Amino acid sequence: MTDTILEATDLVKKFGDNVAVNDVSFTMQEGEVFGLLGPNGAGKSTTISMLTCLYPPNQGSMRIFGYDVVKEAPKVKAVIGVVPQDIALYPTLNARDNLSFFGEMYGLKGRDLKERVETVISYVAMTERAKDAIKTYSGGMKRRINLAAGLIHSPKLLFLDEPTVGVDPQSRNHIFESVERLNQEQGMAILYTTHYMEEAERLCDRVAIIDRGQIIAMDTPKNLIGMLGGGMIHIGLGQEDEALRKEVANLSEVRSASYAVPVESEAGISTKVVLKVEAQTHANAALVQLIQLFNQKDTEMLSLETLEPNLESVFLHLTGKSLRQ
Amino acid sequence: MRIFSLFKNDIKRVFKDVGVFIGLLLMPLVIIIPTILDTDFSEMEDDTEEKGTPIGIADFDGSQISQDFIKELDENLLIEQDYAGEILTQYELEGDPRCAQSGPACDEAVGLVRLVDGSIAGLLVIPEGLGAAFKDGKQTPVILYFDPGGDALLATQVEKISQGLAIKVALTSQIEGAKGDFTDLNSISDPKVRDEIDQMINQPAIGTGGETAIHVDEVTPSGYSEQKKLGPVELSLPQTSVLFIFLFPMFLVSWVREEQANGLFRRLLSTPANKSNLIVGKLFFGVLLCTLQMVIIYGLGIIASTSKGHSVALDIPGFLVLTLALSAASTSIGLLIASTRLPTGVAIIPMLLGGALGGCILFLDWMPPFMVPFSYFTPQRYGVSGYVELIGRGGDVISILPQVGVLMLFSVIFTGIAIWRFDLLD
Repeated sequence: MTDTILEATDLVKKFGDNVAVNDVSFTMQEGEVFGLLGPNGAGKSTTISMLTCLYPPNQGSMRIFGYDVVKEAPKVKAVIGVVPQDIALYPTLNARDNLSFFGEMYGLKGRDLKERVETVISYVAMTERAKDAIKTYSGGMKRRINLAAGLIHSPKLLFLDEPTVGVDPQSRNHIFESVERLNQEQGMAILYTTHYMEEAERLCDRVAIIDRGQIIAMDTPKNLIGMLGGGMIHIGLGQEDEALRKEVANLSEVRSASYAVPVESEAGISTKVVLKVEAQTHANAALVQLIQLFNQKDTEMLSLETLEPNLESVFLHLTGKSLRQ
Repeated sequence: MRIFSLFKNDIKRVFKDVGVFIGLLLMPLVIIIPTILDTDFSEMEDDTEEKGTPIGIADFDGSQISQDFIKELDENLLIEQDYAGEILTQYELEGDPRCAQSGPACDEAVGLVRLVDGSIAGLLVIPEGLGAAFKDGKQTPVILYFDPGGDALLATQVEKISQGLAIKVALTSQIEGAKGDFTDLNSISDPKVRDEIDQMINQPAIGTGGETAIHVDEVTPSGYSEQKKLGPVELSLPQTSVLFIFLFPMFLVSWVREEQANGLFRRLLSTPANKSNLIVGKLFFGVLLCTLQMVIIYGLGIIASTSKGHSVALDIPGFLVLTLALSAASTSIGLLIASTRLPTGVAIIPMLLGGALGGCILFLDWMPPFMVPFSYFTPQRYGVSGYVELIGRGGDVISILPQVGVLMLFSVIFTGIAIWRFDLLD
């Protein structure tokens, strides 16, 4: 049985009247990669900021490796690493100078510091450019040094806040590999925030989907995707028709059907209601039956959208909007 | 340890950023070069011969001793005596019995009124019997009136001249064979000066030859500094350098805000460093930069001045102590500004206003009386008066301690407020 290393309970954070995080609770186990998936402004960074001792919560409690995050901040800071969303590096200094400085902030010095600097530079494959000023790097290279700075003191728990924003595919892949190696080879626990569902699917053992400051679903990526069965079909209609919904739900390739008020205009057409249809095995098979049924009943589809079973679709299914909004 | 790392990192950043490094190096030159190039030293020396500090004299004694005393004062200050005519009308004293005829009583009456309205810096009242008392070897008080709520710089100047002159007269009296004591009773006579007078007077009688006059110069008490002719460095550098050093916060504000915008403070606050560490680290960095710039300014100023034949004496420990305190005040203001959302272009206005009120643009001595009380709330004032004391009056680290104390107080207050209100995550 693995130990719980992070425990966030009923976290609330307000900025004036704006509730950025509303009653968020989750735990992390030793060696786990935990993802916070949500669109911009969902509350991911605020949650991380509270957990990394930057903001105290208005309500709730947080414990990391048994330490109270608010009351025992110095102890917490010593065991966590933070890779912020911004490229928080000194642009005129080179990689070694930057990493040495951050190492000193964690109390490293002398030979230990030098060794750690070389180790993390090598880890992110930046040895050849280590003498160059950060401002001469590409966005991806900066992201890699940004990651290295969070690893300089060998943390037990690493917070990665959207580490691949604005990164070229090569560097992005390198960051993925680094995260996987850190987790698999060193057993480092990682809390990873992103609004890219493919990152969460690839890297995370468990994912919490967060929207408007609240966790709306939390499970393994496989189980979350399983919520959609064989996929989802959203059909825009002019009005609710309960008889139609029952007929749809009785189709052999349909698992369930329900009405929802659309959050946005789907396919650019204003619809009053959306019939959400969950496919039994595969969305295409359900779609054939649905089109036949609608033709038979001479009912017009104002919009039609097929959602493949992935986390993006789960988010859309749960919130009615896409992750990139 | 973390504060030192933060400080070291900022220094490293300056050296790695060629633009910033050259800018910081050139900025002091912008201040000092015009001072050196645009000044005709010979003209400046002539200007310094003007006696700018007016002081009233009411001589109730009228003896040779008091006349000698006044003569000595007249060499250093602008003496006002024997008031009559329009000035009595101006102060509505023409009907005052004390001014029925010109004399010390009228001088005292007019002098006190002029002292109150700031027309003169002080009023020295020489009592009747000073000369006789000298001959009898008795102590006689002379009274110096000055406005303690007025310009402390002027008061200090008058005090020191009075002390020095008093000592000179006492020594002259001693050389001539008199065995009397001389003590001025004004509020500024400090025990040290008095002790030194006593020590001199208790020396064996002098009068065995021409060497006595030389001996007088050698025993001049440390509390007395002779007024010297001031060159351009002494006259203009205290003002321009202090004005300059209080513009430095604008650089610091940009420096800090850039780190804030890059998310560096956010990252640093997730390390074991805390907000106080970060701000105090910046304070040390700012103090070092300011001090180095002042060293460049004064170093070049003194070298240029000396090369043109006008030697400038500067007490190095005093200069360093004052500069460190001034730099701390300046940097702490920068941190305070950085803690606000005030745009840099707007933030420069209070700096310039502080400079104007603090004597950086208009000499404190020439400042309209209504402005003087405001100057006490500006750190610039204490910087200017400190440098004037050091470079213009030959002061040392002890004599500028009041200014250093006030500047340190400003620093502590401003830094404290900056730590309290600075939202580094904003």
